[in-house]
Amino acid sequence: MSEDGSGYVFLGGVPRSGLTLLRRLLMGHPAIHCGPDTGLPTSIAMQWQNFARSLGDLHRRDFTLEDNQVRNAMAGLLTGLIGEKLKVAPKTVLVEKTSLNILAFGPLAEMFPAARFVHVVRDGRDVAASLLRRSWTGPDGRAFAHVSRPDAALQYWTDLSAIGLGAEEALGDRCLRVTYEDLVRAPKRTLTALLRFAGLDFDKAVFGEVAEGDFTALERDSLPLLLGPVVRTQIGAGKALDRHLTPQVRARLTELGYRV
Amino acid sequence: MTRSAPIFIGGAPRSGTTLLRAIVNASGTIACGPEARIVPALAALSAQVEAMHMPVLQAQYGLAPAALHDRFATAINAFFEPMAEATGRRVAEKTPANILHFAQLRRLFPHSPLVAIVRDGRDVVASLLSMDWTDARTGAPMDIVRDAGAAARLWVASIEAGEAMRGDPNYFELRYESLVTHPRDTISGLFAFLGQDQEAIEAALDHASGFEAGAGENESSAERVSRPIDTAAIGRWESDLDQLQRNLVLSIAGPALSRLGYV
Repeated sequence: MSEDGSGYVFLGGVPRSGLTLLRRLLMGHPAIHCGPDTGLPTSIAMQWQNFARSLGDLHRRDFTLEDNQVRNAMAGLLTGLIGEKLKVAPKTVLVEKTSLNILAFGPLAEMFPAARFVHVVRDGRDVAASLLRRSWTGPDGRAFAHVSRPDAALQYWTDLSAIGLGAEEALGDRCLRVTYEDLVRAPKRTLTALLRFAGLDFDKAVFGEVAEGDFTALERDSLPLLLGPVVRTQIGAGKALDRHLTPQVRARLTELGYRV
Repeated sequence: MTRSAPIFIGGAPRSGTTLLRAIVNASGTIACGPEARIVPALAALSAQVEAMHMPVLQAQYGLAPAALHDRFATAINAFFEPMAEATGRRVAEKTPANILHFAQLRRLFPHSPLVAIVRDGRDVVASLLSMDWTDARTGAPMDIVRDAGAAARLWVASIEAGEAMRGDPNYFELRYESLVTHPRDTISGLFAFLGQDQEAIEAALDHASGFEAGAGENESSAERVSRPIDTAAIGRWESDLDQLQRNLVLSIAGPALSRLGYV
């Protein structure tokens, strides 16, 4: 475990973009630990940002606390919570795949100068179609708009994709884009590139069998697709949503290389 | 760890926590700066992670429950290490809201003394209503400084959080009224609990001479704490709260005020 985040890879993207499929594959690699979502990178990075922005002057003046000490304290908290597996050989890379990590790629990159980031992208129509099959509700018990209405689902994808694109630009070669479509059409080639980005070689164990018990919580929504071989059948599942595309959604799809 | 475990001080806002921190800091062996404001946030985050993510962290990330507590304690300690090194003293952290997290802080810091200060809830409400505190996110006045009911509810929550700790042998509770009426006896009791000697007590009784009123942010009582202790703020509610406010406070805080012997 390194304080600078070497060995850490954070995945992020719009929910229902294939992050769990990616985990299903990466978890087979002997050098990788890729567990289920923890939500912790975003929580801790945002808490650090909040401390740094609102309390930095106070901490410097009255607690002789330098910015890097605050950053290291919070970085050490995150690696201390999720990094145990890296203490045991042969694991050298920890992949954390909470989709909404995408919201905190910037602060995470500051906290962990050696960490790497993967923006997982999927056709927004297919993402929206998948979202609309969920029954996710908020604390008030009501279904979220982005799992209830096609326009809201597409807008949700558009907005989060914009954040992901912003992170790609800000992080440069520390951030790799992986598309769902490449992953299911050419899994070996796509995984080889991703593993190289993480400093690892391809290992055919990524295509090994997985068990139901490997997946928890919302991941289990996709069990039938996770337990079998990688298939392309979900590409184009959101074609019927074409009629809901706004100019903004079209522009984002085009920007990401999808045909509209 | 036992020897250097930080001391946590809490209480409802406007209960005398700043006076208490000035007294503790004047001891000469404990450093108690202004509110660092990180403890309640990290204690709350640790409780949230424990409640929501522990099964996954344990089963899939190899983290033992005790290790979760240790990780958060290490992070909190990291904020205070520079101050401990610079002063050579044990660190005490005073943020009023600490009291709402005493139960979780006990899990993170099994050996830390937890100190609560209690003040008549009616005086606390009257004092809160004279503050101009705003919500950092919205810029609007906070509910607790414009609504006697919200202020009373926060006081009750703070009292109940302290009461829940009374079975803990390393928990100490003192009254604001005792502190300002009988400072020597009250400070002696507290300092005996904290392992401080007579010299520290004498230094603490002269807390005002060494208090740095300019330190910290939003320590609303800094100017007052920089003066010698007086009893002028006891019973201020009688002149500051109107009848409607008094009734509202009693309807919310009556049982707690009664348990504490204030009514």
